[in-house]
Amino acid sequence: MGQLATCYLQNIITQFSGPCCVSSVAHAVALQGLHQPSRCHQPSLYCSASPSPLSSSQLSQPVPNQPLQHFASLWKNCCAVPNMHSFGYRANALLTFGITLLALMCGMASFSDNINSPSPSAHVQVLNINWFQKQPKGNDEVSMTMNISADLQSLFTWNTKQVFVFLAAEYETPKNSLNQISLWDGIIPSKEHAKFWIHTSNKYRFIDQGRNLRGKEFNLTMHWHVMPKTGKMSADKIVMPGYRLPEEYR
Amino acid sequence: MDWQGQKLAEQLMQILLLAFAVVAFATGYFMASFQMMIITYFGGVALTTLVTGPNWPFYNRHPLKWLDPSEVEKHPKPQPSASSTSKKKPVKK
Repeated sequence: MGQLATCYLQNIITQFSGPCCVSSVAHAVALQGLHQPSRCHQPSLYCSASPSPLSSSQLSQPVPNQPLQHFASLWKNCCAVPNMHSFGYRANALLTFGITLLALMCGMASFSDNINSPSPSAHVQVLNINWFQKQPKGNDEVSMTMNISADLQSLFTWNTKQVFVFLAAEYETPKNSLNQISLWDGIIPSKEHAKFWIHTSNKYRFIDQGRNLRGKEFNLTMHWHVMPKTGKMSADKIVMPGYRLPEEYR
Repeated sequence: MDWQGQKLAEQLMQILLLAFAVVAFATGYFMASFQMMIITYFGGVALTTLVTGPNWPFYNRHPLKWLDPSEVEKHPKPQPSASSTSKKKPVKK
C-alpha cells in the first residue's frame, strides 16, 4: 500500500490544497517517512506516471516524528508492496506453496492406504457362563468368561494412528431384528499390539431388554474402526456365529 | 533483490519445495513412518526459507542502472501548477 497510497494522497492534497486543509498537509509531511523523495524522481513502478505533486520546499521540511519514520522504513523494507519482492512477499509465497504441497502429500498418504488389502483374523472362545439370571426388573443378564484372540496387524499401514476394536454379542428377538451388546473393547495404538490374546469376563454387562436370552443363539462379532493419521476413517467386522446360551438360569 | 534475482528466488523456492516433498513422501512411505515424512518435509521447508528468504548477495548480481541525479537536474520535470504552491504558503505560517 505504502507508496501507492502516498502518491494517491499527495494527488488528492494538491487538488484540494488551501488554508482549510491544514491537517491533511501535516499528514502528508508525516507520511514522507514512507515516501523517500529520491524514489519519486526515479522512473519507479508507481510514481513515474504522475510527477511528484509536493513541491521541493515541502519535501525538504524536516520530518518531526523520528520513531514514526523509523517504523515506516522498517515496514517498507519488510512488507510494503512497492518493494515487489520483499522478505514478507517471499515468505508468504513459500508458506502458501509449502502448505499446498503438504496437503498434497497427506492426500497421497491417504490414497496409499487403498493399496493395502488387510486380512485380519479373530477368534473367541466362551469358556464359562459365570452366572445367568433374571434381574428384579425382569431383564435377563449373563456373565461369561471368554478367550479373545485376534490378529489385526494387517490393518496397520504407515498412515494408521490407531485401531478401535470392540466385541459385540448380536442376536435377534421377536421385537428387534438386531440387538447389539458390546461385551469388550480396546484401543490398539500400534502394530506391535495388534496381535493379542485376552482372557477376560465381559467388560460391559450383557443385559437383554426383556427375557429372551434363555437358549438364545447369538453371534459374537469383532468390529473395528481404523483411524488414519490423514484421511477417512474406515470400519469393518468379522462375524463369528454359532454360540448358544444355556436353557436355564444359574 | 533485482529482477533476475527475483526470478531465481521464485524458481528456487518452487523447485526446492517440490523436491523435498517428493523426497519426504518417498522416505515416509518406504520407512513406513509418517513422522519421518513430516520431519523431512519441514526440514526441507526450513532450508528453503533460508535459501530464498533473506536477500542474499547472489540475488543482486544484475542491478538496475539508474540515471545519475545530476542528469535529472539538467532535465527537470514539469511542475504541476504554480497555483498550488502559492496556495500552500499560508499553511506553513
